[in-house]
Amino acid sequence: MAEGIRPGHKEFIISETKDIADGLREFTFEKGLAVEPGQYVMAWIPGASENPLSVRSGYPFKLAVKKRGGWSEAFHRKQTGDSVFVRGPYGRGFTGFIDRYDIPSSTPVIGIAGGYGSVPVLSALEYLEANGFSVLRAMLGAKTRSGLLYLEEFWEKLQEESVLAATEDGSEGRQGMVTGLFENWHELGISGEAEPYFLVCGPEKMIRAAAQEAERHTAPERILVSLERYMKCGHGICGNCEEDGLSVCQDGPVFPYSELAGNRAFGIYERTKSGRRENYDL
Amino acid sequence: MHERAGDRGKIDLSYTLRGLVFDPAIMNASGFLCYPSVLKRYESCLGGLVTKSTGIKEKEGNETPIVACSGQGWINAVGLPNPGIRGMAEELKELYPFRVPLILSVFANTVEEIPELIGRSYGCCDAYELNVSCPNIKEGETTGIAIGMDHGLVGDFTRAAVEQAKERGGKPVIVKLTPALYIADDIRKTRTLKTAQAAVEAGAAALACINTVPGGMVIDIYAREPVLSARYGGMSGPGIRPIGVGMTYAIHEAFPDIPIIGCGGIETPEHAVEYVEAGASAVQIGSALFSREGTLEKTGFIDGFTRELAALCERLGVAELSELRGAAHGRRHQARA
Repeated sequence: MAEGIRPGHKEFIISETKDIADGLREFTFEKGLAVEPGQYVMAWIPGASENPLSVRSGYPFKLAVKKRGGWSEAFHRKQTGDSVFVRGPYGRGFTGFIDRYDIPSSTPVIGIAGGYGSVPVLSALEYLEANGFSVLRAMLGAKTRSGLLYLEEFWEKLQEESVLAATEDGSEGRQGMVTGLFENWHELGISGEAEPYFLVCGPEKMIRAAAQEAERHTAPERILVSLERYMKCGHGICGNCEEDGLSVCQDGPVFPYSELAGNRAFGIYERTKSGRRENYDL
Repeated sequence: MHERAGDRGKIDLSYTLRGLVFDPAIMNASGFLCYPSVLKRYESCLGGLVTKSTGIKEKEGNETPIVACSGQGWINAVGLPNPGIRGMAEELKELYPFRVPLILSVFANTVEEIPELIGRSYGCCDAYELNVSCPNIKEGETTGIAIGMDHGLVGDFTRAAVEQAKERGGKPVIVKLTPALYIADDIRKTRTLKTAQAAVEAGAAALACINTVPGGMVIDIYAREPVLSARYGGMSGPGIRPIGVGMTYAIHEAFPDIPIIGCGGIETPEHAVEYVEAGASAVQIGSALFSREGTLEKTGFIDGFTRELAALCERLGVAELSELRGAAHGRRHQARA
């Protein structure tokens, strides 16, 4: 490929749609896409704009879309046989960090997901399970039971006893925030000598709180957090997704927590469409 | 010459503009990197930093898609999103001063907006780049290229900015020009030179040449739609370099004393030297950053670029990049003599 050329969108035809929960719809496509769990694509609905989406799986290629505005509503109107135009995948995912070093498959890996974060976390745990990792756990959090996305899939892959859930209204599992589940840490049966990996995804303040808890159980290099930012270009150019100068779209979206030490944006602010900084709610 | 990353031995790649030292004489083009926190990560490799173009008030810019690869570069219709001068100044104040000169790019719809733009930011930048060339404006908007197509307006806006800067201490105002007039110009480049002259006579410290080439379109033949939501966008990258080089050459030929910052399609040190020999004193790099993925690759690219530029200067037999300025004009004069 000539220097400087970056492929544009490719057409993907929908072969199946499935409603998961809470306005989340899963789209399966006829063609597959080589994706590392934790990476994302820019999905273009001609006439409606393009937005980043964490990939649910590569083979088959699946995207999960939450309905909450113009672009996602246009996406939800698409049916089997319709097309979506996708470029990517982009960014550093979860499993590349684990693949890169010869991590023994007995290493415990704990996924921590809040809300939509279930998508990349489940995708990564499925990959690890298929590659012989035997000690897999999940801590899931949401406002209410219906927000625990893919709960049944987590139970199926990991066995129910390996999945801890927390809901703010107590409708499933422990009442409270997902970080409260660390008080049930002993239930996960992870040896004190182990150096587990954590895969964390969800609202940024949740990620920061969860990572701080996870640090009591492992080194910060082994806590992988997936950040979400409004991305306009996906090429590290427009600066909208910047995290104290790092590009979430290219340097991330997954970062080892150790790389975010001292980061002036992490858990503090994100940028709106205009690029104005906006602090997260306290 | 001080020791910095991208060490280039004894070759002087610097350029000094009214006391501001750009070492190396390489900056990012406006619209790339954009925000102070991002620019900060490049202050050890670039010799100058240019912010995203900032206006009086907050602006969201265009709906995505905003960029598309053309195969010879890129087209963009980003649409000047920015947090407004207050927001940008607030961010700059947290980090200013940087290790290298920080140029605040500004755009205005009327000359009446200039005092507030300069006034709110004067203390947190080293120079201004007046954007009278962005083609991504909406119908009825009077900024960017709407100014740049009219040499009278270029003069008016430049004069206003220069006066405001002068009142406060005289930080340099660089004027970034559009190639649109040049592309349609007559053989003598009349309109191009008239515009350059207007900026210079109004007090511009330097001209940045060029902004994007307007009117580019990329169609996705499967979607059967233009990719950009705005349909048309400004062209950048290697495909436009001859336009930038040509316009630099034309301006330098007519006004050899005017500092020019060359911009447009620079990918290699050879391209940078091409601009310098055309008449530029420094260069800006933008689209070359598209294809380097991640902060480490982007900064590494600039470090490598700088080292190779020094090596190229050595091969060309010069100890200073500035010795090559305008070198492509010499032989013609000799031949005619």
